[in-house]
Order: sequence, then C-alpha cells, then structure tokens
Amino acid sequence: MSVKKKFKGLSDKAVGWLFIGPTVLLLLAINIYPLVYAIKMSFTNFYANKIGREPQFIGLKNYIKVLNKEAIWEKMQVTASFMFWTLLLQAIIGLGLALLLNRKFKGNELLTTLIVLPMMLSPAVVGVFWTYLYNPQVGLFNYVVNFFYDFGSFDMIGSSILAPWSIVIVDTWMWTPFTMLICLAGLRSVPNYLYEAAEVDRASKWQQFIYITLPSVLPFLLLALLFRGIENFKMFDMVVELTSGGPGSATELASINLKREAFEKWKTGYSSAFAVILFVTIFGFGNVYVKVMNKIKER
Amino acid sequence: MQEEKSLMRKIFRRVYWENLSTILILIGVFMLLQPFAMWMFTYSFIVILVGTIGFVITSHFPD
Repeated sequence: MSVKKKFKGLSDKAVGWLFIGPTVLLLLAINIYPLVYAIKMSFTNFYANKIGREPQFIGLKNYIKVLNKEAIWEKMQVTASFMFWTLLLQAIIGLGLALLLNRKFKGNELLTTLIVLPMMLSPAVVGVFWTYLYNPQVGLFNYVVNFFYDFGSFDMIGSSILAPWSIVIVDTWMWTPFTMLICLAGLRSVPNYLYEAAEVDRASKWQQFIYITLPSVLPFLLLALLFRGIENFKMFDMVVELTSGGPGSATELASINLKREAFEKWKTGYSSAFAVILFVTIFGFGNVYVKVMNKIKER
Repeated sequence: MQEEKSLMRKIFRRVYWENLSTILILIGVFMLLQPFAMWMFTYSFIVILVGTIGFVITSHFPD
C-alpha cells in the first residue's frame, strides 16, 4: 500500500496526533519524567553516589530542612540582591536607550544592531571573555576605570565586595538590549495623534513623557522585567563561568548552591526538595507573567 | 435553581480569585527573598504553593 493511500484513511485528528506525537513523547521523556522523578526523590533520603542503597521515604523532612537552613536563606538573599540591581539597571538603561532609538537619526539601525549584539551571545562565552576583561593586570575594564579615576589595581572577581557587582554589570550589559527592544515595541505602538493633541494643549515635553509615553510603555517594561526576573532567579551558566560563586560564597546564587548540594555533596533527595521549591517559585512567577501578558494583549 | 447558579457564578468569578492567587504568589516570593526574618523564609514555600495551585484552579473559573 502506498503512503498516500495509507494517510487517506486517517482522520484529521489522527493526522494531528501523528504530527505532535513525537514532540509530546520527547517532552514527556525529557521534561515531565525527570520532574516527576525529582518530586518523588524529594521525599526520600536518596544519595546518588551510594549505589545499591535503597532510598527510604522520609516525608517532608527534606523540605523542612531546606526551609529552616540559614545558609539557603543567605543564598536566596544573594539571588534577591542580584535580581534587584540587574532589574533596576536594565529598566533604567533599557528605557533610556529605547527613548533614544525611537528618534529618527542617521545610523539608527546600525546602532540598534550594535546594542542588540551582546544578547545574541552565549552566557558561557560572555562569562569567559568578561573574566579576561576583569583581569586586574591586563583586563580592559580596570584600564577604562583607571582612565577616568586612578583607583590603582583592583580585582573585580577576587574581591568579596566587588564580585557581586561584577556579575550585575555583566548581566546588565548582556540583557539591557532585551528590555530596550520590548520598550521600543511599546513606544512604537503609541499613536502620533496623542502627541499632536498634547502639543495643541501646550503640554511640555516632560508632561508628554509623564502622561503619554510612560503609561503606554509601562506594561511592556513590566513584562520585560518579569521575564528577566524569572531568568535571573535561575541564573547559573554566566555566573559559574565568571566567579563560580566565589570568592567564598559572595556570588553563590540559589541555583549554584543547588548544583553543589546535588553534584558535589551528592545529597540527591535534599537537593531535589530544594529544586522543587525553586521550580514552584518559577512556575508561580510564570503564571503572573502569563497574566500580565494577557492584560497587555487586551489593551 | 437559576438564582443559585448565578450566585455561584458571582462567588466564583475568575477575576477576583485569580487576583487573590497572584497576590499570594507575589507575597510568597517576597517572603522567600526578603532579608528581614527567617520565619518568613520558612513559610514562603507554602504561600507560593497555595498561590500557584490556586492560580491553576481559578484560571478555569468562568469570567
């Protein structure tokens, strides 16, 4: 029987399932199964390096342990501080750049392409080359800073005070273009007649910004920040390449600590509980994100 | 019967319950990340979990 004849007998629904079937299977195997397995493991005292030892069910003990450990609370604060500063800087600089690029001037397109470039790089690559830029002896970053004010030799990655700022700077450098692009989309959706009407009413440029531009662009900015918030909450690769969580635990974000608990200390059950806590938080965040996005669509 | 149905619809309106769940999630996230009190961190997960499950359920309520 030819392939054409074979497919002729199938209903539309069956053909649909035939197309999405492999994807669903892949999703179940790669995403859903590990998730269910991790949830199951989070209720046991499983150690992945103790081969042959049957994991025992211990109820909510792992969750209670994680949520009562001060070290984990500290890592959450490091994550919170990282999120706060990156989101704040990305909001201010991103909106500023969007306002700049919304004007028509020569070289606008070229400048937009150049600004967007960092976003296209892999976070691991960014981490590696910023390590060179931050090098206290030959790094370009120290040279540029010392060009404006002579601080002498300083080590951005080696100092426990400067290291958190080093990851904030790199994340801001890399992801501000994303905020800028979303804000730019918001700015371009503002109809021109609003500004013309404001001009007729003799509104100043500042009043136009406060009463027309800002309310129009704010939902878009919020959306970008929410998205970046979710991404930065689970930030791992760039920071591992840049500082590996050090010096000490100055830049040890929650996800880096999770990896250490799971694959250096081999506390699989305990780290599964920690992972589930992070997952539920991100899932909750995701719901809020979808809600905000739907609100923007309704506008 | 009709009155009872409309009363149920009034009580289970998606907007209110979804907003309540969203607020719970945001409070939970704040409790998880705040630097002020350990007890808030301890109870943060349960607040986020209730909010998230609530959101999944209430997003299926009628408008």
